[in-house]
Amino acid sequence: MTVIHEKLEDKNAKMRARDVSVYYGDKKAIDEVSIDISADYVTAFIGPSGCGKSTFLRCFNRMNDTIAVARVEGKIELEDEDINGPSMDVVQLRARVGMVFQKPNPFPKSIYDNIAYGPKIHGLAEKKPELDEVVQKSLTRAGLWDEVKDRLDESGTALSGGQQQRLCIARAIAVDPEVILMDEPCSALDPIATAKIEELINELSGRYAIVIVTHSMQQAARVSQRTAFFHLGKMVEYGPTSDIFTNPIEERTKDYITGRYG
Amino acid sequence: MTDTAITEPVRPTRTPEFAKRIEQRYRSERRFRALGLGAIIFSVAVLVFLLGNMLANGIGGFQRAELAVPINFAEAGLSGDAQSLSASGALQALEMQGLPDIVEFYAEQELGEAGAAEISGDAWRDVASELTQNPSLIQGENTFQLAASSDLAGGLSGEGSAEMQALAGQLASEGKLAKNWDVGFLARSDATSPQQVGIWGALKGSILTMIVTLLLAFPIGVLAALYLEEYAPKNRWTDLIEVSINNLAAVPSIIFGLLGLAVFLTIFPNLRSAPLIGGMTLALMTMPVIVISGRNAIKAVPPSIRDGALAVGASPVQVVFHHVLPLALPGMLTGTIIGMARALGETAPLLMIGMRAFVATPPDGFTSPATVLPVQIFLWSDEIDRGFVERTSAAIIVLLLFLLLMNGLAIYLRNKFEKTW
Amino acid sequence: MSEHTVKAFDEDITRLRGLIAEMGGLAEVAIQGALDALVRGDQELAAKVVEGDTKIDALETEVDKLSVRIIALRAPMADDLREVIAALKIAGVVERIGDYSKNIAKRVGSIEGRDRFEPLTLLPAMGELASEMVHDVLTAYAARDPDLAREVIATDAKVDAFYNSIFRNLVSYMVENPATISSAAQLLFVARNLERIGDHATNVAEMVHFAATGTYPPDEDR
Repeated sequence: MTVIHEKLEDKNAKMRARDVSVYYGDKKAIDEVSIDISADYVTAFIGPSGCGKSTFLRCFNRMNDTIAVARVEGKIELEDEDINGPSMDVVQLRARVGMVFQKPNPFPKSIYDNIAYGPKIHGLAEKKPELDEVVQKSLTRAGLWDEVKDRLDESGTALSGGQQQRLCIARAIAVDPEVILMDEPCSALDPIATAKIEELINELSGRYAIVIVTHSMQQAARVSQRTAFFHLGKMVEYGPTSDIFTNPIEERTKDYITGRYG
Repeated sequence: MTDTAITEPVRPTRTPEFAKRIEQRYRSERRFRALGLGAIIFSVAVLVFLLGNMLANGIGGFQRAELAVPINFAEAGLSGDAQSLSASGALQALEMQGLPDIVEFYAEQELGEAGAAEISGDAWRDVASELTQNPSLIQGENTFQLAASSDLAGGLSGEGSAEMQALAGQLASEGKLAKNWDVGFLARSDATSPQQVGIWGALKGSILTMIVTLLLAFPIGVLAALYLEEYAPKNRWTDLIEVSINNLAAVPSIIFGLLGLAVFLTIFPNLRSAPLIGGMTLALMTMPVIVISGRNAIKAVPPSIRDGALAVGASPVQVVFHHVLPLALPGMLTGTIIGMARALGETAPLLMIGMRAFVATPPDGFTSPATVLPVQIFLWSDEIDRGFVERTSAAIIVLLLFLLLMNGLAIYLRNKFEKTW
Repeated sequence: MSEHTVKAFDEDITRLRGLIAEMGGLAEVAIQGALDALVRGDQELAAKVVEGDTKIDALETEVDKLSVRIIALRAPMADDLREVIAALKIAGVVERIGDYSKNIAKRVGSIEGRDRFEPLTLLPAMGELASEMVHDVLTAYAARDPDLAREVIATDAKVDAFYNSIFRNLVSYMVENPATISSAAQLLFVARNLERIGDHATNVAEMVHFAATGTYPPDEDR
């Protein structure tokens, strides 16, 4: 069903999805998708609107739980542990699998509190000096420290769109997750801010397993090493990004990538 | 012919008809604006008229006709020191010493028999309370301003019988009768004479009732709104509850009064007329408003904030209390204030549970008999004595000021909590 | 192949193909003309061929500009991208083929006693084959037909065989009759040019194969 390019090395898979299907009520939004996520490469999900790529992404940290009618079948493992199993708590899962959303959504609190919130609720850092360190480390890693170090008390919502999104990334990495899911993180940003986020993704890859859903094929081409093409709830083709964009195998992938879709 | 139709481009937007239509559109817009402006001007004019009328009447309500009576206690043989006068039984002690007679005697001496008759029988109490507050007055001669009877007050305003008007004119010309600012109006309670009434009893009753209403309705309303919005499953039962709450908000207030009468007064039969029962009844009425506005405020919290919190691993309770509630609070406060303002002005349900009783002393607590501002206004407006007309207006002004204060506090709180994103 | 959502993209690609086809047609005509002029000693025709080459050069410039424009404005992907890149390279190669034809035409005046040379009967056949290769490879490009491209690649061996035989032939003439050395050397260059045309057609065929399939043809075909 899915065309998978020549044997992909997946020894270091951080997360494995096997035959995952998602239903919204009676409607099947995702149809038996299997894929491996690793810290060795950035994985991009592309596809037309409504193809289910975001829905599938939200399976990895169980954000679909919040939608009453959504039902997930199949198996997703985080380091060989079933994330829907009894041994995995959803709060713990979300601390290990962070997420960045389409629209920058900093909390209407100070920049400092935005970053410190995660470590605080998980009890990772209790005292002020510890928190200070986490905040500085996260903001530095997100490339935002120099821009905001003098105004940590200002509201996170007062930042520009691109800074807000980097703040959200910093917030996600403040709890030191293993996987970061990004759901069209640049769709609301201008090209310069987009370029900064993409550079940030490049820097973060290797340390975190990153999955990015994007509408922009150029973006997928720029930031990812693996690309999966989704269409009508199915994963049509999966392979190295360079192959997908220069020489896709499936006709639907080719039509989509070359702008012939629809 | 057909050739020209094809070659000549039709420019529908440049025809005179089109220009006419545009003109028409602008005209209708101007008409609409004029109508709107007219509506606003009309409302403002009515409001100004009402407020002006109320103020003009109400100013009189804050004044009362008083007779000046010099009293020399030393001469009258009344004695006492600071200690005994500030003791709790001072009033009775003064009465035993014959203060009522002393007051009457000096009044007759100063005002003549006819004038003294128009001093209210309770005037000695005012003298006594002034003495207890300021014991040094008991030495030497001092002039006391004593409330005139309502007949004499009417005479001073040019109303009532001819003799009374003549007497009032005579006393006024001698400088013994005058309208003075009545600070005591804000400190006294209900009485039978408009010269003796005060608003404090009703105001305190209102404040106590509002406290009970707020303490009951706000937490229950907010919690109900939170549960319905965040936790309740969407099924027939929750739909039913939602419809019920919406209907409850539209139920006429007198029904709540009946409910209070039937339920609360059956459970607590001794608490008739108490602010506690009044507050509970009004809370029933206010809660649906808080629930509805609270739910809307919660719905207005962007889902992205919720997602953001969930994604860093916050539990549902943490999401609600760290993010949703703080963001929804301003909206909830607005709804609460609207509900409270409605409750503050509510009369009907309180009449049902007996808060229309004549209560001459301010309530000591939540369980003592009390009345509230709107009921007091209602009662006074029913009185026959003309002196109550001005007093009613004054009470309305106090009610409006109280309302203004409450709204001001709410706006302050809302702006303090409001956050932008 | 269905159309692009953006119609202007299709128009650009169609125009690019049109330019390549036009260049190819001109190059074919140039090869034929150069050989006709050579065989008949027709200086006038030769001059025409030389003149016609400027048209090919102009077309190459146009292809370059259009390709860059498409890449910049349309951000082509996958086979579109490969096609544009191939067109860019093919234009360069076809321009070289045009140059070779011009080169052959220029030599027309320097060959004497053309009746005595047997190779003069072989050269038109070789030219025919070379121009057929150019024709086929451009057909393959227009049709995105990797099979036809591989046939073209296979044909190159025949051209090489022609070249070898003509080479031996001319060398023996030169040995027998030193007076013909000058003319024979000219003809040797002509044969060499035709062989180069065949090689270039092979290169184009490889690009066509890449544009169509994303891979270069396997080695045994080359």
